[in-house]
Amino acid sequence: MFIFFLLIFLVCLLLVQTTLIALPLVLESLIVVAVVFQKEWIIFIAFCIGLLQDMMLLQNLGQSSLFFLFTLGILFLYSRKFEVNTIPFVFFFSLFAISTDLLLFSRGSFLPKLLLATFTTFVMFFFCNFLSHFFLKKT
Amino acid sequence: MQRKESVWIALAFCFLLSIIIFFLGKTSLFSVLTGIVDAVLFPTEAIIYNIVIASTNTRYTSLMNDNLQLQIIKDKEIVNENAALRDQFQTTSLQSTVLMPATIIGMPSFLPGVAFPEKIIIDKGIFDAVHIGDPVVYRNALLGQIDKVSEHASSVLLTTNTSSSFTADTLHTNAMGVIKGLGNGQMILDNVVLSEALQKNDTVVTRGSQNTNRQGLPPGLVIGKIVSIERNPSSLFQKAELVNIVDVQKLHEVFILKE
Repeated sequence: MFIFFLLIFLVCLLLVQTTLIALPLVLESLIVVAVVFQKEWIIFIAFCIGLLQDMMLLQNLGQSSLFFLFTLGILFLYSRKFEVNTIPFVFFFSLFAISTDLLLFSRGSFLPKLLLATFTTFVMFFFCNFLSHFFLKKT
Repeated sequence: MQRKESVWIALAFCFLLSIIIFFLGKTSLFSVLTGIVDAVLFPTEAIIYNIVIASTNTRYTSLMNDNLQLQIIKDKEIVNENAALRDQFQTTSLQSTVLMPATIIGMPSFLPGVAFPEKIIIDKGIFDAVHIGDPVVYRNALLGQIDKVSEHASSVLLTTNTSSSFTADTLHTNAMGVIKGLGNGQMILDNVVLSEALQKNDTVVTRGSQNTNRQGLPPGLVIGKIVSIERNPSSLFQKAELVNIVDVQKLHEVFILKE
C-alpha cells in the first residue's frame, strides 16, 4: 500500500517537474526514500519512474533510469559501511547528486537551482523521517 | 546479509535493463509504449500547465477569483484559445492555411523568477505530421524550432536556447548576421560585418533557411528588437543584443508553421 502511494506521489512530482519547475524533485525524493527506508523496492521504483521521466521529457529512454540507479548504487554502497540517515550525509549526498543531475541534464541558473533543490531535499527528508517514525510507532 | 545481496541483484538487473532500453530506445521499438504513456499523461500536463499559467497571468487574476469552479476555468481556456486563434489568423504576413495550433504542456527547464524557459513541450507530435525543424510561431514572431518529436508531443528549442543558431536580417538596415541564443531569455545578433549599419530598436527577422522540401525557417519571421549594439573598431564583427517581443512564459497556445 505504501509503495502504491509512493508511486502516485512520485508521478505527481514528475508532473510538476516536467510541467512547471525545473528542479529534480523525483531524484530528491528517491534519495530521501532510499536514505530513510533502505529497501530494494526503491530500485525498481527508480527504474520505472526514470523511464516515465524520459518519456515525458522526450529524452532518450533509459538515461534517467541509469542516472537514478547509479546514484542509488553509490548511496547503497555507502550505507554498507556508514550510517546514512543523518543530516550531514543527506546534505552532502543531495548536493553531489543534484549538481551532477543539473550539470548533465539541465541548462542555466545552476546555483539557484542547486540551492533550491537542496533545500527541498531537506524538507522532504524531515517530512519522510517524521512519517517513518509515525508509522513505526503505530506498528 | 540476505537483504544486502538482494539489493545488489536488483540494482544489477535494473541497470542492465536500463542499458538495453537506452540502446534499443534509439530505434522505434518502444514507440507504441511511449505513445500510450504520452496519450495518458500529456493531457494531464496540459491541464496543470493551463491552470497554473492562467493563475499567474495578471489578465486573468480578477476573473479567476470569481470563477473558482473547474467548469468556469475550462470555459476560460476555450475563450483564451479562441482569442489566440483569432489573433493568429488575423496576422497577414503568414498564410493561415499552414498554421497548426498547439497547446504548451510543459517547460522543463523553467523555474519561475530564476530560470527562463529554454525549451517548451507542445501537444502535437508525429501523429499530427510534425517534423524536426518545423518553426513554431506566435503571431508573426518566431519562438523556436521543433528539435524532438514523439507520437503525441514535441519539444521546441527556443531561439534563446544556447544551442539555437540561425541567420537573420535587420528590417530597416538589412544588415545580415547570425542569431545566437545565450540562455536565460537572452540572444544576440552576432557576426555582423562592421560596414553594415545596426540601429537600436530595429526589428530582426529570419533570413530563411528552408531545404528543398520547404522545411526549416521561412524568411520574414520576427525574432526580436535590438536593444543595444556592441561595436569595436578593432574587431572584425559587431554584435547586438536582442529582446524577444513575445513573453513565452505567458503563452498557452503556439502555432507550428507547416508548408
